[in-house]
Amino acid sequence: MREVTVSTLFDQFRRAFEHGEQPDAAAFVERAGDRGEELAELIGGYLLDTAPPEPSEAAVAQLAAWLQGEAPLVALRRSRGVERDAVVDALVVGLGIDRGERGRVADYVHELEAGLLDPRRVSRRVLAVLAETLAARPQDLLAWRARPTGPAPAAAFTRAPELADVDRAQLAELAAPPAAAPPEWDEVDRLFLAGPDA
Amino acid sequence: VSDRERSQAEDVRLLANRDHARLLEKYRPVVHGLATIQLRADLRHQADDIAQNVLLRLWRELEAGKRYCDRDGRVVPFGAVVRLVTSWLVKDFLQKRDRAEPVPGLDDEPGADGIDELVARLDLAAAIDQLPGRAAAVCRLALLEDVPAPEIARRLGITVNNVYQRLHQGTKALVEILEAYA
Repeated sequence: MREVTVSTLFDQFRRAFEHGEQPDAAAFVERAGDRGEELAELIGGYLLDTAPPEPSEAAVAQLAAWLQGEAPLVALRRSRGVERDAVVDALVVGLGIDRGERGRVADYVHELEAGLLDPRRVSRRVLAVLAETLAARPQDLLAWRARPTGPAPAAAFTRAPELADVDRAQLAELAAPPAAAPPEWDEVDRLFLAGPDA
Repeated sequence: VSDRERSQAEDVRLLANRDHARLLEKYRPVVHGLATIQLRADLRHQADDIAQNVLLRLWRELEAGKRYCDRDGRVVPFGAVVRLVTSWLVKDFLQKRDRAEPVPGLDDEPGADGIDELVARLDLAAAIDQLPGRAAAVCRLALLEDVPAPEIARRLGITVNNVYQRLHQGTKALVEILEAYA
């Protein structure tokens, strides 16, 4: 890979970071091929040096909720004064889903809000509608997922009551990265389970 | 007033106002990026976990009233604390993975991984003095004096990219030195 390519990739990363887009550093390094280490040092040094951009209000609200043990997406939705039904309706209409499937869309939205579904499994099309409905950026919706499994949380940091009794094994299974889409999945399943390109 | 100075002044203001969520959200992309760059694509999920662990740890400490000072009582810039804690946790994760030891989860008791002990005896200035030549100069200017990379490059007569590379390498070495620091 020529020098100009490493420089170009670094400049692309830097510009995206400065615009608050939270670029995927590992993906950039992969694109640099056998000069990935060189690019990694540049990006690493840049992140050690740079003054980060000011966060969006939506992102602050989500982090505050997560830190308090609440569901970040629910906090964001409430901060926008949007009911869950309105989110479901926006998805059904925006994605051209049959009205008869509304209940299943509602179930997936619940799983997403409850941290039972890793947002990285969700189609970009879903995230775009969600972001528009919640007046947020798609990357804000991707920022948080279920906390890693581990010992029971200390009382002060337990999540919201509706999440505290979730079986951790079930949570880990549901939050796992997408496998190849099973043939029995229909359009609604693929939108919420098959990954960003669905 | 440079972006850097504005940013640091904002950190001080947020700390004084105890607006810890905003302060940590500001640094979340840095934390996530550093964890990702050190663990790479095949450990992307672990990088996410480490980033969230850093934020939760620092939030708990800030909420408990912790201030980050070196052994002489000088306040360490919050940006430097965030970056060092991230590097420590990444290194801790990699060491535990290599030894097949369990990695502390988000809800483990603070101190279980010894990072608190490291932060408590944080002495950046002494550690930086142990770095070789240019790396020490770059880290001193960037981490202690908060000088932006272009200005460091101008003062040292090197390229900005060279500053980034030395800062990246120097910080990894700093983590090793601080760990061994009695």
